[in-house]
Amino acid sequence: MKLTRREFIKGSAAAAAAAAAGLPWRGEAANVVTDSAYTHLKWSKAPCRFCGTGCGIHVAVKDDRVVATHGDIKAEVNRGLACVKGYFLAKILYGKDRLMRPLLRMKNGRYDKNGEFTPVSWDTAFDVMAEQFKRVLREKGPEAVGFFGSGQWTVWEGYAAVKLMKAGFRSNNIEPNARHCMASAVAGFMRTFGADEPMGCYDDFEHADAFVLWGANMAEMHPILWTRLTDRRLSHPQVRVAVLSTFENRCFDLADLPLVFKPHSDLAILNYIARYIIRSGRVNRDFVERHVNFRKGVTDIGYGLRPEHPLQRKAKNAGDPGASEPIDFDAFARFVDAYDAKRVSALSGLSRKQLDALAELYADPQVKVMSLWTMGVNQHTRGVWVNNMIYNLHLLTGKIATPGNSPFSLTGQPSACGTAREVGTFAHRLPADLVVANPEHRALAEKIWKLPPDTIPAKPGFHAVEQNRRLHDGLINAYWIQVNNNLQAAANLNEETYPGYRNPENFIVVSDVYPTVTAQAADLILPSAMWVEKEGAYGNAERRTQFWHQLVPPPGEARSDLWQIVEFSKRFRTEEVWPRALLDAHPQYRGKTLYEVLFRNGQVDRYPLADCDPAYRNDEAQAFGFYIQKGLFEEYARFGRGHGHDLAPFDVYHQVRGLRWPVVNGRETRWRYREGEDPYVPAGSGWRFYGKPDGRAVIFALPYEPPAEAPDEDYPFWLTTGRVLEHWHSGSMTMRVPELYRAVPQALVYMHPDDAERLQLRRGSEVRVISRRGEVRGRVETRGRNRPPPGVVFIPWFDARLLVNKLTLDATDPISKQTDYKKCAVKIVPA
Amino acid sequence: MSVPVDIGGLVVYLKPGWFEAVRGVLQRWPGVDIAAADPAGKLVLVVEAAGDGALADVIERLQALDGVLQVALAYHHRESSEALDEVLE
Repeated sequence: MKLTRREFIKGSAAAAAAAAAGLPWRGEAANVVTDSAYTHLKWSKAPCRFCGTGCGIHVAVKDDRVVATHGDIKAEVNRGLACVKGYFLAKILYGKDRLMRPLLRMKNGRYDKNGEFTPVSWDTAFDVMAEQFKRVLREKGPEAVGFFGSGQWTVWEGYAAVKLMKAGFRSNNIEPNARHCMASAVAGFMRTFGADEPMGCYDDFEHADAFVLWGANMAEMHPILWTRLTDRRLSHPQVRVAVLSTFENRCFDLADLPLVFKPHSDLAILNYIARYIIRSGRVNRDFVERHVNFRKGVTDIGYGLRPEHPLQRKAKNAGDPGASEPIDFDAFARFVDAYDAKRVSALSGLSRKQLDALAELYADPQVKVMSLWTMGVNQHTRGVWVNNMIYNLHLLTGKIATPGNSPFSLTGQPSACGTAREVGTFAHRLPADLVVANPEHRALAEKIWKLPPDTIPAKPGFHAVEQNRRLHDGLINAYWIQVNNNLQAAANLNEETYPGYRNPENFIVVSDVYPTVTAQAADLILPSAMWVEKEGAYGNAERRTQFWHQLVPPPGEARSDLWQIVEFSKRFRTEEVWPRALLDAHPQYRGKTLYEVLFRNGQVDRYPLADCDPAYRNDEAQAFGFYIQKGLFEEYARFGRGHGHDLAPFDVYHQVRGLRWPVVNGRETRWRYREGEDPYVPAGSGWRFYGKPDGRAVIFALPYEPPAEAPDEDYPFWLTTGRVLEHWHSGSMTMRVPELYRAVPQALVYMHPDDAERLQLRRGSEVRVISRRGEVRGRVETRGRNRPPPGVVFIPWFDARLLVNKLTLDATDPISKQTDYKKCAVKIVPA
Repeated sequence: MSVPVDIGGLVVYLKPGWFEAVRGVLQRWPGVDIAAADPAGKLVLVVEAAGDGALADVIERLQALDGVLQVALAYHHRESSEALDEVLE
């Protein structure tokens, strides 16, 4: 029998898809999907470069070029599937305008803030950059320099950046864009459990009887997890799906309980459910008595605006918004009792019947519940509270840390957990949940880093929004941005962010792969390597750490962020950046470069080139002469081993499809805090929330408080922003994939048809959307995948031609400092 | 000029009660083979589409179809139509 290549490939496609779907398929090609003899390709594993799901991808390379990708059937996360973005992963490397050389603004052969971008060598780029950073450090000190990265940094890139800033420059002004994305989730975890990141894992999808989405459009933003949820719902008819959102989205197609609520009223709905659980006698008394404390948080905490803003001045507890006092169960019950059906219906727009149906999912002891959320909850001026209040429901009922009972905070970036949170690339943090404000934590970091005491400053640095304000005000003057498009992403960018970038006192460096809006506003652009152009590690939303090898060389003179950070450190000597007193007390550090002190410390440079896998390139190891990724990782892992954050040995991760920490004695942990699964929980205790000294999690009494800005006569619409399936975040990668661009070429203004009719607009009409801070133009969409109720408009933020963040308000959660991108007031007029 | 051909292996998730209707529609789509099916609400498709962006168009049309909840990809291959005609054995 003759077999053509077409038939062979089609057989492979059918076999792979059937296996991924868990369906039998009888075909000859089942075992040779990636047979290199037929395809002449080299296949390797890598986690996807987009969202926080962390899908395993098989990457095919031919002649130093990525030519195909597909879901890795051996990856537990996605079992062979990929979403439409994952399918086009190969193409994000090869956009036509890929940055290949450093570009410096120059006039008459010299750096000039008002000059034109001119190609320069790496040497010149770093010379000018070092001169500017040294000038600022000399004249204004460490508080005037800053570094802004993201949850797209690999683990060792984030770790190297933390060392360079916190120890090298002695500045805590390092932040990730995860501040805009995950900060409320982090603060929620720390407040309730004393330790960051979910206790459960994706295995919960196959065990839950009910799924409740609190402001997460998983169908578009976490499509592969949505297929797992869909599979569970379709194969188990008793399973129920509740979708809460301020507008209808694609998740509503699967919803048994579709709930469109008024913006910001989630606070009231959550208290109603707590009240319902208590009133119907379904509190898990035994669990609550053994594992929970009750506290009441302070109220009237402001909106994280500039101190002179009237709303801040009015707020009673803006100074210490995270404060709380102990109460007992009865006081908590009395507190939530004020949230009766009448009041909560009026606030939320949901009927009593809807509220009760939702509450019953949590109250019924027979129903295992998974709560899921992302930006609807976190990008909220009371985001920490909402996180705390979701945990309240799981703690009242004891539905936590067992298979299917899972409050699960999803993440938007591939290593928001692995890098931003676990490495601690925040202004207040150090690795493994340590913080700079704690002298013992600083001392431990200094010991591990082999640095003199008091090298790391005790005062937390400035958070992301504050950094933008300080750039604007000329108080931060040298600023380095890597792996993100901060200008497009920053709220109120016209009034706050852009003026800071172009402030004549400031020198702005942007490392990126494409000329984003942010890069174009910079003074120096550094061309970066991306994804499989370097060896990397990411950590996904279920605590899974995943590695990949460098598979192809980067184009032109592009270099990885790791190389950039470490190479740049060679240009500073300790006496240029450390105070004399520190060096007088520890003269052995005098005369050394930051490179020697931070990266040639006998630990980071401990592993020779011979340890690298000879089957793969490793440009950074070759450049520095040692296996730098392994050295950085093993030094970093010391922070967490023995403290509930245990990572496996470096080499293991190159073999496996990721492991979920804590990894103790070679075994990963699927459910933290529960006896039998988590090695840190002592026998006989059942559960132990060991992030807190007494092992008890906290249920918080917290109220409904109004949003920072709401529609009024002048600005009658709610504006909420967000994402779409085809484009990832600001679109800097996906807008360069022709297929994705063609599928969704521009951001639309989604609104209700009645609102459109009232304004005499039609689908496709061009409109001006105006807030108190700026205006944008866009086209009206009254049908399609997002269907807002009357009074609400939705605009995605991926489109650089429609910069929706000109409209948004830079109000933040006062505890987490995370911006609220979901709620501000706008008006709409025909263009 | 050789035309690039995309071959995709897809998993399509369906709303309860829509299995027969969607399967009926897809049986008539050119370039689409149903390789496996689960009446609980899943179809495994092999799609062959010629020309830039043609496979993406099929996915977009699938996504927009009544009864379809989700489309996921499990396999993708791109090659010229001549190369695919090669006889292997």
